[in-house]
Amino acid sequence: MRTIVIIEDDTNAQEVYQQIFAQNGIRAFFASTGQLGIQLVQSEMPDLIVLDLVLAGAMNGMDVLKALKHYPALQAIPVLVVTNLQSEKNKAIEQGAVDVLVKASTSIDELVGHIKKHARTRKVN
Amino acid sequence: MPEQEKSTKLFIQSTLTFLVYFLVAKLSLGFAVINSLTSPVWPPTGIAFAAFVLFGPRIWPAIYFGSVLANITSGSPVLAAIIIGAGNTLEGAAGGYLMNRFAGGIHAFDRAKTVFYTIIAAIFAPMISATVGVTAISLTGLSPWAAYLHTWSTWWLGNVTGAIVITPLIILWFDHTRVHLRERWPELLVVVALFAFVVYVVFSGLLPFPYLLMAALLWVAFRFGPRDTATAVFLIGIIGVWATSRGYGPFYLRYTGKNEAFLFLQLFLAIVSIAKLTVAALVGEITTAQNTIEQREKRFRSLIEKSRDAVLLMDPMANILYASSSTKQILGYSPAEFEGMSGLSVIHPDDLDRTVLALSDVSAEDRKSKHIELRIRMKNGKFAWIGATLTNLLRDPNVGAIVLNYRDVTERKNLETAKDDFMMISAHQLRSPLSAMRWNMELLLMTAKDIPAKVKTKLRLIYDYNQKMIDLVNELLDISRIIQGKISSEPELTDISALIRKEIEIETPFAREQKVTLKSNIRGYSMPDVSVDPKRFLWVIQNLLSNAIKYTPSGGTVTVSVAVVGREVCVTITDTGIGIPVEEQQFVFTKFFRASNAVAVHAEGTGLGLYAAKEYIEHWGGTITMESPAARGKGTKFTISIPIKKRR
Repeated sequence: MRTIVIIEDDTNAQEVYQQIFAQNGIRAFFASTGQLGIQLVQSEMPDLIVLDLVLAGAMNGMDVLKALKHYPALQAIPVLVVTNLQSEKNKAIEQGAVDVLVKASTSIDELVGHIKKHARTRKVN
Repeated sequence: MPEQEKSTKLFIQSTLTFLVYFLVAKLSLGFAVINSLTSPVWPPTGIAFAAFVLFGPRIWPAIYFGSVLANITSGSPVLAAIIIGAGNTLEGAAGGYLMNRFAGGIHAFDRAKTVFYTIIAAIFAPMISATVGVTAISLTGLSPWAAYLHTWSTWWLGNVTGAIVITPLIILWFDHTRVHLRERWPELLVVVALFAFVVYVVFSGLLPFPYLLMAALLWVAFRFGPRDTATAVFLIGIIGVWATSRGYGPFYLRYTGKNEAFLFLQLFLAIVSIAKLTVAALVGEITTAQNTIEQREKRFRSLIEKSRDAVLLMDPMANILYASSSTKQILGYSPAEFEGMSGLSVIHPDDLDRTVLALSDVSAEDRKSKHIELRIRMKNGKFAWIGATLTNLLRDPNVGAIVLNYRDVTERKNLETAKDDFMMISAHQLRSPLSAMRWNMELLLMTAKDIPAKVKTKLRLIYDYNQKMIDLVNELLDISRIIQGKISSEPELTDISALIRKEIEIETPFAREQKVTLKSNIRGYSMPDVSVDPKRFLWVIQNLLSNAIKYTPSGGTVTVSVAVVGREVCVTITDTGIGIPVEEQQFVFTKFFRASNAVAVHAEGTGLGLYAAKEYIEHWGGTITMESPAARGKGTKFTISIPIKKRR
């Protein structure tokens, strides 16, 4: 069972994500601010982080990407940026995002495909 | 000037010259001692020189007939007079020619060098007159052959002095007849008084040392210029000749023979004249040079100070050596405050690395120039964006520093940022509800099993329209980028190989995903600079590269090459993808075009990417072309060529 942390402040999008992940057997945790998101990642150690660039609160998505770099334990977790802000694509990848998807231009199928592809496979102890 | 007027002018000049020459020659012959035709005092040579310089060679008849008539009316046989006349005319012609050719004609006395050449002419031309004249009078029995040398010396020295004293007098008065002495009349009064005093003292026999006259003349030469110097010498000459002929003065007292006395006077006059004219010319040259330098300095200072752009001079460590006055308007610091500061201390921390890099880049090569935009902390603590050009003029002896020309571009930067922000925000705001609708629709269509077929159809319709709106938003963003790119982009000297390498890195994950091999072939570590907007160039490459990857089936290859070809840098992006149908190739760079086979693979796409790319590249002076061989699946090759602006 894969675990994902979604850092997204749009409640509508959160609902949609919930439905999608439920359908696809993915355990999802939600945070609507950057700070909460990082805390969540630290506690849950997910297989993938889905991150929007526009967030409520003091931190935006780029800040989260930068902050994640400070935690060596979290470096291995891939970050998939899913956002409607197209212009920051290059910067996000430079900051370590594994890919950038534009929400409006991505179908659900494509989204799930990307998630399945990028989520790390957990080593079985 | 019409021929008629020219002839009239010449006629008047000739008549005047003839009269003056004749009268002065007659007067001078009055001083003849050893024979009636050889005078130690001979101003007419000076008149002849001046006439030929001022009026040209066509004045010769005036000189000739003036001389002939003067000699005949002084008791010369006609034959002798004719020959002497020829000698004098030749002398004048030679002197005039030499002066025009080597001493700048009427400007001969403005510079020390040309004064020297005039003296040479004055020494050699009279040899013609002396030789011709003395031979003529010896032949006709007016002078014994035994006295040839003595007679020749008298004739020659008299003519030489006549040239040296009289020629500058005439030429300088001819050219500058205005008397500028109004402001300096007290000084003039003193000089004249001194002059008169010394002349009296010398010629009355009180202190019969002619060289005292040099002192008064030195003052004139230093303070009153060549023309007045020549006048002063002339006056001394007149007084000297008058005094000596009456038996007064040091020249008479010292020598028993009148001829010798005159000759000594002539020698003195010649030497004094040469010395003083040279001094006057030198003083004039130095003053002119100083004035020119002062004027130039004032002009350049004014240019720099009044320009709205500011200029900074720095050393390679960015210490500020000089700041122009515009510094105050742009940054709030007075030049005095800014000078001595370290430039690095006022740069915005985010721009520091980039600026230091640019500075060391420029410092490495003589005359290298680089454009950079950066933020500087103003006096009030806020930051201003400046657009600057750094130029390495360390080796230039007149500058010896790194020059920074800069202007405030804060407004433009803010505007650009505002526009970018606006577009970003608008696109984001528009997309949010659209993406929400899309996903909700998809969920609905996916999960709801019991929707009636009719409803489902309508839902699909709504979904499609929603997709259209999403496409519209994408198009809006692209169009605004194109417009912004054309209006507000400021091209910089850029090494595009670095940009391309970066872009390849960014696209590598995508390529891997698509199972497409991404190859790069970039010759050399760095490329000559081209003038492009780096952000938008990156966008163009991204567009082409992601297209190439998108439309190449898995297992294919995309190759990016960068090389210098002639005077251009060429970038080629080749893929082994689906290619572009031959009949559609002509539309590739047109607005909103999407190839039919591309649409089949990817429904989305605005068709503006290539149009925008072409607009940008042509805006930067380059070309973009596409090749897609006829056979299906043979791939596509895009070639971008941009002219080199600066070699490394």
